[in-house]
Amino acid sequence: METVLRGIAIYFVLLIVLRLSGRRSLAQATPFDFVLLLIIAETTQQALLGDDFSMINAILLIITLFTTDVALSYVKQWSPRAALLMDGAPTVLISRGQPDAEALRRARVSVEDVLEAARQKHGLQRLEEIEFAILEPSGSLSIVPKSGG
Amino acid sequence: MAERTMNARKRQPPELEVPPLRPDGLQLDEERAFQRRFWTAERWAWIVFAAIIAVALAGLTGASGPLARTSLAAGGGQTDLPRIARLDAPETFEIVFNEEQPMHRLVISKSFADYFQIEDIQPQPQRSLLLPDARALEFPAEAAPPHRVTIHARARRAGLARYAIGLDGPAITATTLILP
Repeated sequence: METVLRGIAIYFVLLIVLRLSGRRSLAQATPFDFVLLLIIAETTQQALLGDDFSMINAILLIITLFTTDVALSYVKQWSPRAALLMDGAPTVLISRGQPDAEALRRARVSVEDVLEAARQKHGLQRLEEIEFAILEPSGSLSIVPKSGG
Repeated sequence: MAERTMNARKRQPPELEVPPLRPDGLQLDEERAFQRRFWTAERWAWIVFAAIIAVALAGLTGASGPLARTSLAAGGGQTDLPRIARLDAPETFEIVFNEEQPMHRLVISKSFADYFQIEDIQPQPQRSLLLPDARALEFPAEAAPPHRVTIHARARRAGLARYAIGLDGPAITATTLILP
């Protein structure tokens, strides 16, 4: 019983903490963020397993985590509100070439970040060449270049 | 032909939700009002995260920190024990006998064993006695006090552990909160 409860508890703690820490924490991962993720994974593993390294404990834990994930995907399907809460919604950072200062500031995305994504994805050179920039729920930046730009 | 069209219609998912078209031409459901509330919630959550770190630094989540341990005078000595412990984590109980006696007696109530598993006692007691609802450990002593005994134990159950400790005299009640 403890294994199942541990698995569910850690799953939800991770879900809440990662969601509340902001989506940029995961998507635009710098090398340090990658190290941070490894540390989180290691810490979580110990909290999940405790001092029981038996195979049955590991199997139970894997099944618990996958089942929780599947159950939550159904919850998200049934309730758009829950989906919005768990996954978030896209945020338009630049609309028709106009940067949205509030969205950029509160989503902690700088114009440099947008330009970097524009360079990497479309080879764009200047801000004026960007028609739309959207911070996706996954944390990635989508760039739509101006037509003919 | 009509039947094929009917079948194609039947195969359509019952609720195919399409994001609305924005005035700027983008087809996405931005939910800006929700996002604004969420951004505010995020900021509050960061304050809570900082508060949790402050609480941990103070020792209120156990392990170490100025408030993690407490000292109690019990009979003829003093005991330094965890105020807050963690499940499955090792803990140290320091016992100091202050009175000059050839044999010191440490009495620990049975409720201690309900929450903690003793892993080691330094020095080892010469005698261990089973009392009604308690266990007595006897340590011979020669030199002048203080005489120290260290118990290494591991919390085996989460909850509020209340137990009695007696050092060469009447027992006092100690409390340790064991966090899961």
